[in-house]
Amino acid sequence: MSEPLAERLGIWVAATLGWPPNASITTTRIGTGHSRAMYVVEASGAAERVVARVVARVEQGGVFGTTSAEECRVMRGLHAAGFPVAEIVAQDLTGTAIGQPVFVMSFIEGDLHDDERILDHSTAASFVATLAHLHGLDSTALGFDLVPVTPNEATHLQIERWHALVNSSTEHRVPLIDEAAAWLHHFAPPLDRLAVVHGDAGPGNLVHRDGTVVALTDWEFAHLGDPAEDWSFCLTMRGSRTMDRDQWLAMFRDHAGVQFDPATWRYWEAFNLFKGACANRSCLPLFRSGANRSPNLAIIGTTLHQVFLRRLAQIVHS
Amino acid sequence: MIERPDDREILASVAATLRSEVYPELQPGWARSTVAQLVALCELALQRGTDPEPQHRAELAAALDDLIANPIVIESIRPEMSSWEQTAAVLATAAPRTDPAAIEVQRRLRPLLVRQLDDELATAAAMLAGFRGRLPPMNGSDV
Repeated sequence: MSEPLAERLGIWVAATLGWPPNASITTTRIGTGHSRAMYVVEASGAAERVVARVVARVEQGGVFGTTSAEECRVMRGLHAAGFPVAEIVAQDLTGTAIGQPVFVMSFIEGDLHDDERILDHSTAASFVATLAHLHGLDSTALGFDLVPVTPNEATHLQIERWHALVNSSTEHRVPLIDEAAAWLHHFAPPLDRLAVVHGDAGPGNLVHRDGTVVALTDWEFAHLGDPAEDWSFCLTMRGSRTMDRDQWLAMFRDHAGVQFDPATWRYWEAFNLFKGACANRSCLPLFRSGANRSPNLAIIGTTLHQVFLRRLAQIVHS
Repeated sequence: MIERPDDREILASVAATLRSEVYPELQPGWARSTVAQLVALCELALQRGTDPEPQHRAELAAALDDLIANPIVIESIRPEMSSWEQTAAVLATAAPRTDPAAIEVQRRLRPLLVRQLDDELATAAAMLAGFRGRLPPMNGSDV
């Protein structure tokens, strides 16, 4: 595998999808996404007219401890259920084709803006309704790796998942993480029904057109759990620049019937900071070992981890 | 013997060249963001001091010594554990509790850990700029 990854990817996509042998293949990395390298792969014919276009999602040596295998299963299940998600048209989950697990999705046309976090009111409302739809889906056929025996187990399983990841990524314990894990276990809200949780929900992880969400993207963090995790993630992380807190809360209430007390919102903000701190830290050993020397992984594994940890400590200590 | 540039001079050259020659030539996108991240990493390597981990570990050991009579410390730690493990175990035990022993542990250990974290975060602004694809602010001295 001496060719650059992008070139190998283009060759493999063209062969797998049966694109014309005389087509010109271009592979362009999209400037978003850190846990997966995202590429637009295009085939052009005469007069440089694009005749086929797909999006490839390539693992980055195990970033965040998530797998394309589970992501593919969940996306296929959601697509089959009629949920707005890109159709998977090819996959190699073994890494033999280009050196990393990869899957290929249909390209979904959307409106483009300079800042992906900015949404107009109708698009934001459409997103909220779409997320509520996701939370109401039947999860039994989606093939998640972690399946809680009871709904009340779900949050604890997720805390343990992320705690185990950070402990496998560090040379010594991180006391503020261990303290936060104990705090999260103790204060975990009860849950009466398991929902499909996106795990990274909000502006930047959706495709929209004419004020309507046409696809949710980036499913690597999807799992079974409490929908409050998604609402909080949108409110305090992905959507924090999109509109202010009160506007989001009104939208959640009006378009999804979602309302929580302040303590619940605070809990789920802490949970998401904990998840982020743990996931981010997992990038550092990949960078240090040479599994992935991309400089963003060094920054995510150190500074971003610390930024999340600092905000987490603020909540736990308050 | 021919003089050779040292590692700091080489890193400074890489950072300055990426900053002034490469970054401005690239369109917004993945490649340009990666260049900004490389600049941030090179400049971090030039500017940071020695690894604070030994000092932080020693501070935790001293704080745990101060708490040696605390019931949570007595029940949570074993001698073969590192200071990091001991601190983690003590804080995890105290986390959901509000009794005097837990409060004593929290009051002694939490501010120390947060201060250590803040020390490490002193470089955050430059690294975050790089992460977001922007060149870190110049600080005026590169070697």
